[in-house]
Amino acid sequence: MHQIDRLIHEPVRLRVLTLLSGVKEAEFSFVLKALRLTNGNLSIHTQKLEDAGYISVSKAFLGRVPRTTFSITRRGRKALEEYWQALDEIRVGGETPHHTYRVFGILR
Amino acid sequence: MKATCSPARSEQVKDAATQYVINRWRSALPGLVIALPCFLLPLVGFTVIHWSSRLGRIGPQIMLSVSLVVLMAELALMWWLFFRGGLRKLLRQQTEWIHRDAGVTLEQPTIPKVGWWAWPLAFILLPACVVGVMIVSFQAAVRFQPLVVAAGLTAVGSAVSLMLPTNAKRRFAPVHLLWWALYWSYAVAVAAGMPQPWRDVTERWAWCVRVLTPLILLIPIDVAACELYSRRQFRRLQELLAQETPEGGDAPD
Repeated sequence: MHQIDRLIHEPVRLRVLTLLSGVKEAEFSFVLKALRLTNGNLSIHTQKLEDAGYISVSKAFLGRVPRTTFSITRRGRKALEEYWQALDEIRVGGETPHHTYRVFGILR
Repeated sequence: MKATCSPARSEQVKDAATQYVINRWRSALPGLVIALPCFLLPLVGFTVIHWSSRLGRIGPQIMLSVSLVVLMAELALMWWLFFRGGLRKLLRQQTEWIHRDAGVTLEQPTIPKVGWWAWPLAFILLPACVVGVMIVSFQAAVRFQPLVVAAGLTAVGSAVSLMLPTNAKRRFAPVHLLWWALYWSYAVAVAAGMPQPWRDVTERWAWCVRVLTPLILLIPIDVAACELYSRRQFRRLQELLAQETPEGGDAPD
């Protein structure tokens, strides 16, 4: 049984990963607009995802304009799939609260 | 247990992002830059040859020289596009430009891979169809000329669209059908008796003005439809991602 990954369970980070799972790479400004976030909020969440190895961040200059792009890593894709699997397990087989608590890592 | 949420949502996100990128108005411009010379050169060549047979005062030698220059230019363009990798280079640059402009790079290539049969189709049949449609249109009555051109363009467009992969056809279809529909409406209206622009001009060269000007004027409408469709897809993407909240609720940071 899969455990719920608390890093992905946060809605903003889940949205970032879902967006990146559908494209090859996306620029900071695109993610910002698509998710309707603020600069600081997105920076903090992407940093956490990068620290976990779920996304890779590349910074470059296009002329004089800085360009930050994100892409999901293989590890991030796998973690996202496992997260949804865990959620599906709760949805289908988790009628009892005991089971749900176990999946969320509250009961071991 | 098989996951049911992630793949479906990921596919929806992928679909919305793809439609957002490939329908942006800027993505239409490089395609027009490539397509217009292929379309206009045979047109100009044929028109010049046609004039040379009718207008004796300019001199058949000069007209023949111009025709040969146009023909050589067309052959050079085709040679560069298809045999020197020019088309591939242009499309690759176009893809990079579009992705950079949109701020997102798609997983699947936007350039479709086509079979060997696409090259003779583009090299021989497409210009032949353009000239063929013009000849048939010249023979038709003035009021039916746009109808002939609409039929010809639809036939050529359908043949070209056969080269695209199925998903690309589906993504391009809604906005481009609008373009065809508008020109068909114009052609049917003219055939039904609507006064055409420059109808009083009886010379054959006015054919280009009468028939092609509405077609060219429809390009901005097509481009605007593409842009609106693209923006709608971006809003769809935003809505999809806004719904992305797990049933378990928010977790603390």
